Amino acid sequence: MVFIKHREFIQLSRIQYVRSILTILLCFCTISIVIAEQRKPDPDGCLTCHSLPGLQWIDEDGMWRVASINKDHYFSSLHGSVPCRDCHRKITDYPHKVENGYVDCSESCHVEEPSEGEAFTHQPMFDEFQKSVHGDGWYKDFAGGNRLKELDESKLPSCRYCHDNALYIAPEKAEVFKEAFVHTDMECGKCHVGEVWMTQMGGHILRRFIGNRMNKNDSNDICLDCHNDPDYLKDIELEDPETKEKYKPDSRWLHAGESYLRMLHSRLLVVGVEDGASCIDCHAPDGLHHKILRDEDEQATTHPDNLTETCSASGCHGYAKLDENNKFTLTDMHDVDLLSMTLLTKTELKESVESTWSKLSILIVPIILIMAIGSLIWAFTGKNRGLIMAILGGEHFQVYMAGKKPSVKKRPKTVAESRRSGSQSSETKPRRKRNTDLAQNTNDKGIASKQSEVKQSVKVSGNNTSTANDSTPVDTTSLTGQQESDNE
Amino acid sequence: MNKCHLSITFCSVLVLISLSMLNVAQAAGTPLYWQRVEQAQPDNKALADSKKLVKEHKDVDIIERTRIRPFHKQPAYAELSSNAFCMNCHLPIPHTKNLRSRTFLNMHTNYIACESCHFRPEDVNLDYRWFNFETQQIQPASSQLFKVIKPKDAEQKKAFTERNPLIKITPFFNQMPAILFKDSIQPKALLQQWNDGDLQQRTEVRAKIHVPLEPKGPKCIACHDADEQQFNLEQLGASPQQIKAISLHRIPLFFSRYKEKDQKIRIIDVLR
Repeated sequence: MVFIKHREFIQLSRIQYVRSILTILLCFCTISIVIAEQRKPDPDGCLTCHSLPGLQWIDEDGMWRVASINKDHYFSSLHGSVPCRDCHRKITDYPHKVENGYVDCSESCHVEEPSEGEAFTHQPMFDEFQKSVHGDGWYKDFAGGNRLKELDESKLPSCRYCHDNALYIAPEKAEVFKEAFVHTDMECGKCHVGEVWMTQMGGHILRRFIGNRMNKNDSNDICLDCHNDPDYLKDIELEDPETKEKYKPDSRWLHAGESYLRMLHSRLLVVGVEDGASCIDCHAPDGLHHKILRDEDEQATTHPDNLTETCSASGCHGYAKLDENNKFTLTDMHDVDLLSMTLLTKTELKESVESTWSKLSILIVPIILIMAIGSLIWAFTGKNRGLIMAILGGEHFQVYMAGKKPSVKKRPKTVAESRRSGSQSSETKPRRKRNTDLAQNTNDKGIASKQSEVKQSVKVSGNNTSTANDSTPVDTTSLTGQQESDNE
Repeated sequence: MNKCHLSITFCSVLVLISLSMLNVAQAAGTPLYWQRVEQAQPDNKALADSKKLVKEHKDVDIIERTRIRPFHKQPAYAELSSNAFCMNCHLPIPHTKNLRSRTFLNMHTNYIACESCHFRPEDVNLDYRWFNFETQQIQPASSQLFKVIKPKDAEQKKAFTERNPLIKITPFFNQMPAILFKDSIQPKALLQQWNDGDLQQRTEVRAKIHVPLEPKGPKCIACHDADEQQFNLEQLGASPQQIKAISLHRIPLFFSRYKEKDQKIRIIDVLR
């Protein structure tokens, strides 16, 4: 009996032992889940201080530094569920050592990616970025105080140059997101049941579809911040992907943003038509949109050999693939000829000296100069001064178009006048030059002779001038006749 | 003779009384701080310190923005211009040296005039009031002048106004501000002397201005203490909740643990 009791006791104790272990395990799991679900976004207390407004100072470089963080914005941001120390890993004490706060964007986070439960990381993005033309830009050692140093060291964009801690859902998309979230809960929630779906997956997927922060104009703004600022880029040196030789960029590269903004691709986007093409649409359409390569790189989507594929992608220019359209891709999307010369910087002006137009101008400019100087000399010293002045629109224009009285100028007597004046008194002044001018200006001796004929006919027929001569010379003569009498 | 003597004595007494009354009236119209500057006799140590600082001084061009924006969204809360007399020379965000306290002290400049902390004469009792440095008018006491709570709903948002960082707790003496402003008439000559002066003259001017001032302000606990406070918060319009929040704030308590100059404390302790 005792034995039986003892065995029972042993069996009972074993069962209890196992049960208690199971209970502890269950409790541990429950507590872990509760802790995980109730994970505080500020477990280290950093925001106790940093959420205070007005924490600021001016550092030794004169940079106005603000240590305050907008708490509401932070909790609604992309990193809202990431505790500060996930990024600022070595900060444990106050006051902090600056280098302890350095952030490395390529590190993995403690935040779990919801579908597979793995630690989230920017590594795939970082890998793309490193292979790109911007790959040598900063990706670590980020701190608020070394922004000037970063700008001094490199003109290549770093992670933080393009990205800040934006809101998880942009305010203008919040309402649409809320509506969609309710709908998704009702529809998708029939199969996808549970808190994980509700709190993590649903929101995560919806954000990808609806709340995605950047539209084409947003992403363009990032690219154009540098690529539409030739003054910022002019000191940059490019590197040949094969020979690694460094060289200064040409004006096409320097003004890529400006020329893009004058093309239909951007104009459509500017007026709100999403069919336009953003920078990324052509330069990094695949993957995580960070692998921007030089046009010369064979892997680049903008390499001449790949343009047919790139232009015809996403339902844009499908006909680019047709053989009869094989010249389509030759259109220059960054045509520097679209730009005004005033946009060109000094460097580019120097470069423009090497263009065909510049070479031709070596020939054209001296010829123009010689002709201009010759014309001037001829105008002011030559015998045909009147003709030149008339061509320039001087008195000729004023008399015949504006109806002004011509000025009286002395002229040497002609032989005929000298003869005629022989019978007149020696005090008679020579007639105005205008008639001569007219004859010279029109350069039509026929008209001049017709004028004398008409004068004669006027004398003969008295008042009947208009019927006898109804052509231009008649009008001219009658006008001159009238003006002559006015002057006299 | 006697009558004559008496009348002369009487007249002279009258003149003396009227002159002394004039002095009192003049003194009453002069900010206390300026009175103390005029009386100041800097000693050799003060002059030596002043000379060193004037010599070492370098002008700073403030960089407000860089091409790279801050990663975190920051509250739009800054005061880069002020009519305070001190701002003639000091930066608008004046505390730069002490790594541990500079940001917190600069935060307080949005609420407190420089002289409230640095001008603390022992022989007189100063009165503290809210004063608008922009309009140079006394601001009626109100809880809205302390740290404001951001609105939660639309109704609160309607009534909400951002607090003006140019309204600060300011020392008063004889019903008038005990401090000077950039456009005050009294220090004009002194400022001119500074502008035109050489090293020696500048040293003297700087020393004279700083004699009535304490280089260091009071400790946090002087205000953030439940028992004894430098300012009468109730009189300044603070609500009971605000008085409690100010008196028992976590951060001053955290700071009270520092015993040594270069001491470091674990941040997580701020939560305890």
